[in-house]
Amino acid sequence: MKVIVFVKQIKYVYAQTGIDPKQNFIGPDDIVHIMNPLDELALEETLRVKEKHRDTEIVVISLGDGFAEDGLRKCLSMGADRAIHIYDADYGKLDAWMTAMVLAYSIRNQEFKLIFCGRRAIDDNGGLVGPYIAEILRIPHVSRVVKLEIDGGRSKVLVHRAVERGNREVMECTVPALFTIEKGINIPRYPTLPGILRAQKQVIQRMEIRDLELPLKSFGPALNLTETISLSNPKPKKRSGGLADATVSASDRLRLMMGGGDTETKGDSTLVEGSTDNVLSEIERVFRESGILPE
Amino acid sequence: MEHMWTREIFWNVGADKKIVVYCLAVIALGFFSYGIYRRYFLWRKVSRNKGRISFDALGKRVRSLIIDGLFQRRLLREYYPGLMHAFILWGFFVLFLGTLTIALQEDITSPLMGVSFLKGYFYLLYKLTLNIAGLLAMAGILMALVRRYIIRPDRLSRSAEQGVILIWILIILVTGFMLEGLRIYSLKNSWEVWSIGGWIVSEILSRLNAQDFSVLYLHKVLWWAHLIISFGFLAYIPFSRLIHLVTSPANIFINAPTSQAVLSPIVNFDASGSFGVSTVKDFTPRQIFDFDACTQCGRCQDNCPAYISEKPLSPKKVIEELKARWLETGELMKEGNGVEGKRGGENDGLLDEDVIWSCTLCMACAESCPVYISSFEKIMELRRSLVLMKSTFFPEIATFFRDVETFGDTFGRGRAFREDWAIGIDVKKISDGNQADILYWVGCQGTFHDRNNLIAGTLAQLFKAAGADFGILGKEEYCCGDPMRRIGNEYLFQKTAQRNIELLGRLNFNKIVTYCPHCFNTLKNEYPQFGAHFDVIHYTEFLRDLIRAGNLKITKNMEKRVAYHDPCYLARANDIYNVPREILKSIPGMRLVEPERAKRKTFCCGAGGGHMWMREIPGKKMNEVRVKEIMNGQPEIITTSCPYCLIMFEDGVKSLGLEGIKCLDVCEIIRDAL
Ligand code: SF4
Ligand code: SF4
Repeated sequence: MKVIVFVKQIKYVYAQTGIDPKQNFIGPDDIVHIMNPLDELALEETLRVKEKHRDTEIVVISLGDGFAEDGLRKCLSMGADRAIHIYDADYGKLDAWMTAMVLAYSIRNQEFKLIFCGRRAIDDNGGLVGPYIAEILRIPHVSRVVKLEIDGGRSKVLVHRAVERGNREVMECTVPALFTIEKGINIPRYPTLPGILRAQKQVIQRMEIRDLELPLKSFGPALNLTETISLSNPKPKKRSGGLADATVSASDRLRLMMGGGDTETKGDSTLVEGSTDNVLSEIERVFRESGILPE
Repeated sequence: MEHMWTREIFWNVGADKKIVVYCLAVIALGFFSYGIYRRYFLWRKVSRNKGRISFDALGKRVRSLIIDGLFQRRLLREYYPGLMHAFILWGFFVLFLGTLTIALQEDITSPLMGVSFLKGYFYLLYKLTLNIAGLLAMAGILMALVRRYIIRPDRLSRSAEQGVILIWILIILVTGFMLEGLRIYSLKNSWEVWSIGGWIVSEILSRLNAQDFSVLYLHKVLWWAHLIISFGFLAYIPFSRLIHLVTSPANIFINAPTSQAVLSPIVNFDASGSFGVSTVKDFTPRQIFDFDACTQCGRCQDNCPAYISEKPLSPKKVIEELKARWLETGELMKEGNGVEGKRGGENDGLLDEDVIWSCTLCMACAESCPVYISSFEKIMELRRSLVLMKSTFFPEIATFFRDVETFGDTFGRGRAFREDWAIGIDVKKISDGNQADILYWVGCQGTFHDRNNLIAGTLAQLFKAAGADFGILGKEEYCCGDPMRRIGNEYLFQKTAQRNIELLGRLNFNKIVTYCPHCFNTLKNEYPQFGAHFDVIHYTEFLRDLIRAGNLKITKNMEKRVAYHDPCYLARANDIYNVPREILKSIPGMRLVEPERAKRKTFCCGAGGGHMWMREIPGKKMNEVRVKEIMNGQPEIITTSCPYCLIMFEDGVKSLGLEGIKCLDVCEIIRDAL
C-alpha cells in the first residue's frame, strides 16, 4: 500500500526583526527553516499506519528550493521510505492552486491509497493546497483530521475531524483519499541515530516541474489565480491574565496563568488550585477533553 | 642473653611437617588462581568490546594506588568506617609482610646462605610490630561487627557473606594470638612481653594454671587449625566479596587518570552501529571490571543528591544490579548458552528508565567512591542507548532537541534574540574582521533566561568597568552542547561542538571567558576531544584577576552572612572553589558561611544532566533539599556562580516560603561592593 505525504519546508517566523512584509517581517539573517510542524504530524501518522500495516510504502514529496532537501532528509530519518524533491528555484512565488497542480501531477500516474499533509502551513496559513490536490486528483478529502483508523479491508477509513470548540465530527471515507492533519493527532517521534545516519546516505529523487506534463502550455507565477497584495501585522490583542512575574514561584505563576491573573477569574474559566501535581493533571485533563492532547 | 631472642619456627610441630604446609599452600594458591582465572573469563569475555589496560600516566596511577589504596585517603574522609577499614587493611598488610619475612628466612636466606635474621633486637621489634598490627586488625573487625550489626547504617546491604568474612578474619587473628600465647606460656621467656597479644594470652593461661601437657597438645591442634583456616581464607578470596582485595587496587590503578568532567566520545557514527549500552555485553571490559571492584560500601549512595532527594536512584544499586546482570549473563555464556540473563535481553532495559533519568550527572558518586568507580558513566551509556537507539525519552526532551536543532539555543528562542540581553550596554561583537582580547561566551542561560540575562549584563558591565578588551559572538553564539551530551544525544552534541569549534577557530581572540560553568567545562575539557584547545577561564577567575590587578576596586563594606554554593561543574569538575571564596572574602565585613557539603563535596542544585528541561521525577525537590541544607548556616544571601544553580535556588527559596533570603550571583555581589 503506497501512502504519499506532502511536506513543506518553511521559513519559520519566530521574531519580528525585519521590515519587509514579503519576508514576514523577519530580518534576513534571522531566518530559520523548519519542516511545517503539521506536515511532520502527517508523516508521523503515516509512520503509525505503517506500524500496523507493514507492507506500507511511504513516499514523501516536497516542492521547494534547496532547503526542501533538509526537510525530506528529516522525513527519511524518521522512517519514510522514499523522498522526492520537486525543484523550484523560484520557490515561494506560486499560489496555492498552482502549487496543488504541481504536487497533484507529480503523483497522478501512481497507485496510492492515502495522501496526507498538514492542514495548513504555518508560514502563510493558507490551508488550501491539500483540498485543491484532492480536487485535481478527483478523490475525496477530509480536513483537520485528529484521529484515523483504516478498516481491515483497506477500503474505508474512519476519521475524527476537529470542528470548533473542541467538538469532533466522525466520518467514514473511501480510499484513495486525502487527509489534512490537525494538531493533537500525535506527538511526532524523534529520529533514532541509525535513522539519521541512514537518511544521510539515501538518495532523494529530484524532479523538475517541466517534467511533470502539466496540462498547461506555459508554467510559472504568471498563471497564478490569486495574488497577495499586501501583508500586515495583526493589531496587538489585549492580553488577559498571565502574570509572568518572576517574583512568584513557578507553581504560583502557573496557577495565576491558569486563573487568568491574580485578581479574579474571567467568565467561564476555571481556577485550578492545589499542588503543582494537581494543577498539571487538571491541565492535562482539560487538554485531553478538548482534543488538544490525544486520549 | 641477646642471642636467645628468637623462636623456632616449627616449634612443637616439628620441621618435618614443612612439606605438609607447603602442600596445603599450593592447594590454597591453586584455588585462588582458579577463582581468579574464572573471574578473568567474566571480566574479558562477557563484553563484546575489546579491552586493553593502558599504562599511560603511570605516575598518576601509582600515586593514586599508594595514596588511595595503601593510605586509604578517600576512605578516611569518613572517620569511623575509614579507620575501621584502614585498621584491617594495615593490620593484615603488616601481618602478610611478616609472614613473607619468615618465608624469606626459612626458604631462602637460611638454607642457601645460612643466615637467620629473625633474632635479637630485630626479632623483638618484629614481634612488637606484628602484634600491634594484629591488635589493630582485631579492633577494625570489632568496629565492623558493631557497625554492621548494631549501628546498621542504611547504606550497607545485608548479606550473610559479610558476617562470615568478618568472623573468619576474627578467628584467624584470635587463633594466631592464642598460638603465640600458648608458646610463650610453655617457654616462659620474660622478654617475650614484646609480643603484647601473645603475652596477654599467656598471662591468662597462667592465671588458669594450665597444665603443660594440655598446653602443648592444644598448641599443636590450634597450629594446624590456624593454618588451615588461613589457607582456606586465601582460597575463598576470589569466590567472595573478598575479591575486592584484588579488584579494588587494580581498579584504582586502571581508573586513576580518568577525568570525571568529560564524557567519552562516540568515535564512529556508522549507520549499522549500535550506540550506548543496551545489554551488559555492550559494556567495555573496563566498565565490567568496575562492577567487580565495587565493595558495596555505599559511599556513592550517601553522596548522591538523587538518592538523598528520594528519587528512584542509588548509584550503589546501579552498580549492584549491573553486576548481577553481568554475572548472570557470564554464567549462561559459560554453559555455552547463547541466551542472555533475565533482563539482559536487547529489548529489556538493564535498569528502570526512572532510574536512568533521575541522575543529574553531578559526579558526586565518582568523587566519593574509594575505588574510582563512576556510576553515572554507566547511566550515561544507558541514556545513550535510550536516546540514540530507541528514541525513548520524555516528550519535553524531544521538544528540547528540536529547539536546539532549529534555533541553536536551549530555550528555543532563536538567534534573533541573541543580543537582546546586551541592549543598552554596548558590547563589541567579535567577527571575522573584528577581534578582541577576551571572548565573552554568554551561554543560553545568560542570553535568554529572564533572571540570568541580568547577570550576563552585570558581568559585561564589570568587564567594561575594568577596562577589559572583550567581545561577544552575538547572533553567532550557539549552545555549547553540554545538555545534549548529558541527556545522551552524543550525535547532536558533536554536531554542535564541531560547528562551534569551526567558528571559534576562525576568529581572533586570546581567551574565552564563560559565565556558565557548564559551557566552561565543555569548552575547556570536552572540545579538546575534537582537537580544539582554547584557553578557557571561568568568569570568577577573570574577576579575581581583575580585582588582584586593581582594575576593579572593592570600596564598600558589606556586613552580611553569605553562603556560597559550589556548582558541580566548577568545583567538582574543575577544582575551582577557592577563587570565588577569595573574591567574596575580599569584601570587608562579609561573613562567609560554608554549607555542610561544600567544595568538591558539593550537592547538585537539581538542574544538571538535562533536568532543567525535564519533568520533576517523583521524590523530594532537589533544590529544596539543598536550600534547606544551605539555610542551616543561617545566611542572609545565598550566592553561587552558575545560572542553573541560581534559578533553582530562587525557586527553592520561594517554594519553601523563606522570607528575606536573597539569591545572588557572585558578580552581583561584586558589583554592589564596588
Ligand atoms: S552523578 Fe550524581 S545524581 Fe547521578 S548517580 Fe552520581 S551522585 Fe547520583
Ligand atoms: S561504587 Fe564505589 S562508592 Fe559506590 S558502593 Fe561501590 S565501591 Fe562504594
